Amino acid sequence: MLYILLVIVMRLMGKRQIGQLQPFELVITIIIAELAVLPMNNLGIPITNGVIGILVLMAAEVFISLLALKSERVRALICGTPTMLINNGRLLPEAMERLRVNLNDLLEQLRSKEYPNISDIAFAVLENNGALSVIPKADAKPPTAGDLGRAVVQPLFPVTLIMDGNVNLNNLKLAGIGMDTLLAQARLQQITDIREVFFAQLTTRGQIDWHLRGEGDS
Amino acid sequence: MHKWSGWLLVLVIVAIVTTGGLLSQRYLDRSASDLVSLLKPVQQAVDHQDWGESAGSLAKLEKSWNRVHSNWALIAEHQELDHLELSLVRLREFIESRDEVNARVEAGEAMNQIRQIPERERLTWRNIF
Repeated sequence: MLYILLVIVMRLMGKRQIGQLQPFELVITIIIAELAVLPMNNLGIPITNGVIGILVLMAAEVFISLLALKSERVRALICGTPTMLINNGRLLPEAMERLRVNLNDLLEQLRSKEYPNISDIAFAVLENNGALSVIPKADAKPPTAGDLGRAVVQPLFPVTLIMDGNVNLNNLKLAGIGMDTLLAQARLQQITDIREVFFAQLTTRGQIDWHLRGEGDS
Repeated sequence: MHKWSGWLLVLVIVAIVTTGGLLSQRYLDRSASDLVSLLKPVQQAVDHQDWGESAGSLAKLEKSWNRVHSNWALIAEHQELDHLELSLVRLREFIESRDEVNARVEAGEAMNQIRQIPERERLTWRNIF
């Protein structure tokens, strides 16, 4: 029962992963986990004690995040504000000291993002969730299609059409493809029975990618 | 998700927890008060060494206790309920063996435990800190 409640609570609290949680969300998540363990670990504690605690914390989390959504001041107070650590290729020691970020940690994160030279970085910002965002200088970033002046086709949204032999009619409608067209495309691939298809997807290039059952098995 | 669903969720949870808390505290107070009023005649009968009367009054108390026990288990710590249960069992044994001193002590102990359980669940500064 507690497990089901936890799944529902985590679902209602949002879709963010542990590394993307704001400080107050992380604290609430840890306390909720502890509260769920208490009645499981000690049978003398009524399950209602855990359930009420979990529900109240979930309400607190939703309430705080709604306040943060509506008010910039509350957001800054609860979540903090991003801090610049590198500005135009120059380190900002005061900001690093204030945030207690040492040079080794900063260099490690920059190397992991493939920026070995600080002078190549236009801005490095420590975000509220602890992640480091790096914006390279114009001459240090890889060229894009726009930089090269090349015309590109914008990608389409990829849609799963068949999964495990079952046609997803909602996705078919979303992709704007009729059943007749799908079957015609299948026949072109020598597929007579849709149930033979393990997976079919409308790719970002607008083509249907077919994967048959057993075709990868040797 | 609807624009107001987040606020509504918070409101519903706060309403459920507040109402549930108030109702459960009221139930605890009322049932504890009933148990206390059933235990008092047992104490008086023990004081007068009227063992037949005390056994009869205790049977009434036990009947009432059996009714509220499962409901209290949803709210109060099970260990406290076990202590009270044990105290009532000992009280019955002392009454049956006509042991006045121990029966008095046990009745006092049971009375204290019945009064303590709702107090421990009450939302007070003393319980929070």
